[in-house]
Amino acid sequence: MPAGFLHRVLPLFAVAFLAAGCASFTGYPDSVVEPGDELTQLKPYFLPPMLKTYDDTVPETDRRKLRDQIVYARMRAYDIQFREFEKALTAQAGATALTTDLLALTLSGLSATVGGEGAKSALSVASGGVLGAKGNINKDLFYEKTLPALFTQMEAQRLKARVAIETGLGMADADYPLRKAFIDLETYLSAGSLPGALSGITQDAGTKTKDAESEIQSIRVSRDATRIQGDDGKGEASVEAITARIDTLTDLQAIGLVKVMEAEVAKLSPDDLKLVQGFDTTNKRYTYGVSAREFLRRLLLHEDPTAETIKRWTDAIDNAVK
Amino acid sequence: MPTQTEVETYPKATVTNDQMNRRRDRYLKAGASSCTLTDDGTNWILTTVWPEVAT
Repeated sequence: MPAGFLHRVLPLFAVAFLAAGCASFTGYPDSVVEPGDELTQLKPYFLPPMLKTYDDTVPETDRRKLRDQIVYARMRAYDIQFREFEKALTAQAGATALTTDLLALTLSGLSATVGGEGAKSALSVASGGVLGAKGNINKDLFYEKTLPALFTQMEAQRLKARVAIETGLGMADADYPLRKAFIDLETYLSAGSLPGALSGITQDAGTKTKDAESEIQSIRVSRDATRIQGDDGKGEASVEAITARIDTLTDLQAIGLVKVMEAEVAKLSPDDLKLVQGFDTTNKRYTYGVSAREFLRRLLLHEDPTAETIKRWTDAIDNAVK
Repeated sequence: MPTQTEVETYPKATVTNDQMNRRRDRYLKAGASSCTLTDDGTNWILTTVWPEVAT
């Protein structure tokens, strides 16, 4: 095979491989429904007439139902957009890494099998060039290291924003009107953006600095409690049963329950709440299920194991798992 | 990791040793790094060291 021919054909191979890579290496399964079609269906929930319908709807129970529909529709639209955004970023990173690998392998293979020193040399040079290009691309930390960290941050911030919305939707329309939900939806939207993730990472870094500072001295809490006088051991089995139920909560359920029970305990014993909140100075309980469950177990322990407490916790868990 | 030390005092006149031991066991089960029961003659003193919640 003449070396001149290879010199002319090789760039075409390269372009074909790279183009193919851009289309296929997303790492995500295809959507069942075309994302654009679903977004079109959700569009009315973003338009002014829907807001007017909401304002005009009476009674309150109907307005609340419509509020929930609008909020969930918008969240769904943001979820679709976020997945597409994530896919696009992953595809870009994947295409860069995999197509250069494949192209380099193909060129190396050809150089070993074709005859003629000129052709071998041309293919080896081309293969080396491709790997060299990959070396440069791999130095791009954005795709190699930063992107997964940003995805993790975006997912965590989106979950946190989602909890705020879900908690709000548990309230009456008068307490959590649509326009208030829009503020939380805006947070949800920006949580799924690169600037939002970067800002979150910067804030976390600040929190970690504070965290390190607080390691120097531990907080000492002294209190003269009388609650134990009512603990005759009978409530112990119920506390165990509630603890077991806390352990079976999903991440979202546990995070939602933290907010509810924190508010409940604040009404009964602000001092105990302050103490328990000190167990989680970086507010991990609003983001991570495992932290939320541990926080709940400790919160429960700092309450009197009375029949009233047991009922309050049982009811709250029942609501959380509905 | 930051820790919190919680010191609780309970009057010995009204709180039994069993009740205090139960409380200590619960705290240890819930993730306390240490939980020590002592007394000063009049009061039970329960000293508990809590780590930050896990992630």
